[in-house]
Amino acid sequence: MALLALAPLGAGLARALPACPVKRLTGWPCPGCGTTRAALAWAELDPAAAFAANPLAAAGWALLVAGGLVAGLAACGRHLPGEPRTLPVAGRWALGVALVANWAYLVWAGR
Amino acid sequence: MREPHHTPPPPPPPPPPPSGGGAGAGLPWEERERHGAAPAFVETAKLFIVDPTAAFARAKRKGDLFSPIAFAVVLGWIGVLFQSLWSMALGSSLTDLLPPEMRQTTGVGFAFETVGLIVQIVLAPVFILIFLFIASAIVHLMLMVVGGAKDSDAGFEGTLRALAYSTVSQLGSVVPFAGGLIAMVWAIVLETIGLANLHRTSYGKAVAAVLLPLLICCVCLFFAFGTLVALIAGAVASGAGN
Repeated sequence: MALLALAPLGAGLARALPACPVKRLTGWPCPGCGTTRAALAWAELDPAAAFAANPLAAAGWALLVAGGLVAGLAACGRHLPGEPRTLPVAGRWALGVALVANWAYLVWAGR
Repeated sequence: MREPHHTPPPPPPPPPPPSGGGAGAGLPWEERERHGAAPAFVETAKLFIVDPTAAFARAKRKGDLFSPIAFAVVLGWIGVLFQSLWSMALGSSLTDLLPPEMRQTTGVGFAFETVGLIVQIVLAPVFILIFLFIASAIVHLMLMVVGGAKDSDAGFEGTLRALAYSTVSQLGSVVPFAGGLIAMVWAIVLETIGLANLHRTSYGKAVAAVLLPLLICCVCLFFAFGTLVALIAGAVASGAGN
């Protein structure tokens, strides 16, 4: 909810943020480069631009907002599916591969 | 004539302490209706500073998410306030050291910075709230990766609670210059203790969950530092060659 409330102020607030030190020093993006741009694109309801900026961060933002909505439903007393307690080995590998693939995309796209 | 012997009835057992001290009994802040909000807040902060293991053991594992979130927002805001105050104080003292002509140009920048800091202070509670949920999501995912949430009945709520109460570390920001670093190290320690207690997992898994995201950042910074060193070395070598 806080994220949605801040969405209209996003562009103004983003200007105050410092540039990524890794990108400034090396010219190479870090795995988090584009996270702010992805959030700003979501704020403008532009999923294509959000995923182009940083696919993993775009998915992360979407999951975060979805999580907030689910929490809201939980607060209203609706029945919710149980929370997973562990990540299967395939899930762990998928997460690792997603991180590396995301970083490779950022380097390739010059984000 | 002897009086009939009356054995006095045994005294009633003493009533249990009002707040209790057992596992999951509740922190003073979680029972602030009884203690009063301000004393309960101070008492809870003191508990986390003096004996974090006992404090996390007392924290509720389920329900009433408002208490830890409100605790985090207030303490996080205090931290931001002090960081901003030190920035303003340091900024003005550095400007005073500059020559007058440079002071004029940087003065404009400093005025802008001051406005930025005030905006930061005003909006801080919203950012703290967002950051708390993002950080909890990442740490909980890492906890699941290392298998630390396997035997937990607290779930994501437990991680959120651990991170929220760990914002007591933001009081480290009261110290000028090194406050940020103190708060960061203190937060790592508190988060580890909190995760281990609330998820009933080992300290090894808890510390891994807390440090894995930092490790990913460190790999990047190491990469950046390596490039910087290589650039400097290259510049020195070319300078020596000329």
